[in-house]
Amino acid sequence: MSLEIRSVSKTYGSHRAVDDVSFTVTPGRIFGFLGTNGAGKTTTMRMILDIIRPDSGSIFQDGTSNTSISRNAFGYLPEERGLYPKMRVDEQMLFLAQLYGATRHEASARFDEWMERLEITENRERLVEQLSKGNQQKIQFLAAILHDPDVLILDEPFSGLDPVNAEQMKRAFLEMRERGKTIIFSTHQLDDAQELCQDVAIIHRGKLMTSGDVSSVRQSLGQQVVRFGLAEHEPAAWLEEIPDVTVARDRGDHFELKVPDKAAAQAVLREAIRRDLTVSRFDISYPSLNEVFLSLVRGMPEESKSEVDHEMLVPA
Amino acid sequence: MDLNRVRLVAKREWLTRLRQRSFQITTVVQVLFVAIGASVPTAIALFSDDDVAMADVLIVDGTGADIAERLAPYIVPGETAGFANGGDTIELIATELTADEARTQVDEGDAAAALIVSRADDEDLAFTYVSDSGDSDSTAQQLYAGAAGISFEDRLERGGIDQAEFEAASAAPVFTIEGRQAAGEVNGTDVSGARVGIAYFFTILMFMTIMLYGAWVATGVVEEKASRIMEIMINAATPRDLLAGKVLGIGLAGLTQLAPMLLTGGVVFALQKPIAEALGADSSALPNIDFGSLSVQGIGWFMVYFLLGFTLYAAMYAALGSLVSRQEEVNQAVSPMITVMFVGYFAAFFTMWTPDSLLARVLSIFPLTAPFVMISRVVISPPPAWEMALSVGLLAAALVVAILFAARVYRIGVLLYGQKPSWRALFGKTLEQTAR
Repeated sequence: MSLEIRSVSKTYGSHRAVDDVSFTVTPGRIFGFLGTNGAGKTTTMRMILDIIRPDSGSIFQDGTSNTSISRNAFGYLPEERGLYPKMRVDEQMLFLAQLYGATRHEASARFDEWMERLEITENRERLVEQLSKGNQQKIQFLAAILHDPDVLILDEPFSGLDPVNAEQMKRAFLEMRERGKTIIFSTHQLDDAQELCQDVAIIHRGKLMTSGDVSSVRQSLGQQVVRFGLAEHEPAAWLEEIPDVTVARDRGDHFELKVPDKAAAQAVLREAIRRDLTVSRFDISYPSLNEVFLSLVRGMPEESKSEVDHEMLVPA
Repeated sequence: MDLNRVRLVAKREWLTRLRQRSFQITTVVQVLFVAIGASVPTAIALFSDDDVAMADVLIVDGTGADIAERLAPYIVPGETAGFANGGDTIELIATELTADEARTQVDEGDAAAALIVSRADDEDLAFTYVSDSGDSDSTAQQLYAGAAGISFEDRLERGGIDQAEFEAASAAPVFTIEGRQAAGEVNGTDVSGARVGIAYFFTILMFMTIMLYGAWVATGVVEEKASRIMEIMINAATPRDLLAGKVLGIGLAGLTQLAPMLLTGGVVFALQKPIAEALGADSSALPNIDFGSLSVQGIGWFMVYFLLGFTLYAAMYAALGSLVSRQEEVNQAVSPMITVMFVGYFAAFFTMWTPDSLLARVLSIFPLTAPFVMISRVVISPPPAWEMALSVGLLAAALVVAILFAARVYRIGVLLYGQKPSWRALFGKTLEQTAR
């Protein structure tokens, strides 16, 4: 019962948009697909949806190839939002749900339920173009779920949402997870991912850098982060002298230190006490997804624009 | 192909068009225009009837000089009006009525006109022509010629010139007018002006509707691309379902607009004879064609060629529309195809008087021009059955090829934004199976 992506590759002209990417998404968990713009997220998602076909590799949903699976297994929120601007919300939602293969009756019941849940019932009969941007986003989300798909593919679902709407969208995510759906969403906002996801994959220039559950990815660097604050914050050159300790950042009221293990962290604490300094903050954690991401992609050569063949390039 | 999805898309397209105010207004206006257009034969008959009513001319003769009898040779036998078929000869009726009584008869419409003849103080003949249309009708001109002749004879008589000698010299010339229909003899085929008129109508209608509804298809595709709803649609349904639904839905919207118009036009045209008679027009003034069968044939073949032709062109409109991202680029994208349509359109007019020429025969069988040229031929001079069968068969075959090719272009085009691909790259892509 899972979505498996097996060694898929896709090339546009001379541009390798997705290069031998494999990962597995488990139902009932939220999967974050992370990468910079142009990393290959959208291309991969379109391949999962069978909108475009990979040059090599294959994709299976519950053991069935995605090329022969029913269309209503998938729900899609594209990165470029789009609906018929001059069509009424209710008519449009029922039309799209039925196009996916839901019956009018089912779609209508779910529509009522979700309009209520997202607190936008007063917009039922409005034209889409008359809605606020946040409400259009919510409607767009409904367009992805009203046919009750098993797999939800959401491309940058939080972009352009204000904090209140983003919070509502996150609650909707969790609700869908409760219902046992497989959820993949892409983002370059790594804080969103860390907050919502159980599993992540990081893709960069078409290549999969790492994937797995969030804690194992955060541990994968073999580093821990110590946030170390003193009552009197002042430059502390002595920190660098402790073996295995690196000062990553001076945050103004505390330092961020990189250490390979807990023993090195203890050494920091011992040295502070030996120097008779008052410690106001000391916590040890694994690097954030953001830090893992940056350290994974750092040092990769910049791709020159000329390598990209624009002729048949679908935005990736 | 999932018929349920095709039906959904088609229904949405159909309803969207039907709800547009402009669509509703156009539909009504078209019905009115066609009803008027189809009544042209009756209008012509009624108009020529006015002249026929001028034919009875009362002669009020206060001179005892047998004016009515002497006028008769001056009246040109044949038609009184310029219209085809059956105007009446002017009929001169000698009457005992007084001048005023005759005037009343003209006023009340019992006679078309009256000619009042008396002798002036100098014994010369004085003629007064009484008519509701003054001296503008052709009857007045003929009577004037007669009056001039009779006055001349009368003066000669009074002057003592020998009657017999004079009559021999001044006999009326033999002057005959032969009524002909506006017709020509070309290639051994009688081409009726009335039929050409109908061919004009159907050819223009074919061109306008295919171009208009085809443009709806292209702009519809671009709208979906521009509003980016295409990405969801393409995930929910296959490109082929979407293409089929769009063409079907817009085709149905087109038919919804065409049907009332063709029905009204057809019924009014088929009933031209009864309508003309009911309105008191002379039905023999109508063109010599079978209104009923021409209506049925014309509309029947129009529907066949419209359905096939529209679908063929609509598939290509959709494919070309899918290759561009913005409305402004649509015209440029479809222009090569419009050029082909214009060739068929103008060829149809060019060959209207020569419907059996080689050019007409070839272009009425070539699928891209057949809808325009064949509909004109069918109305003017029905071609042999094998030509019709070949034309329809080739058109249907071209249709299948166009739809298959369009579906492939569409599948690639709909997700393509920005730069338009070269035709070579596109053609290569359509041949390989890159997606559903």
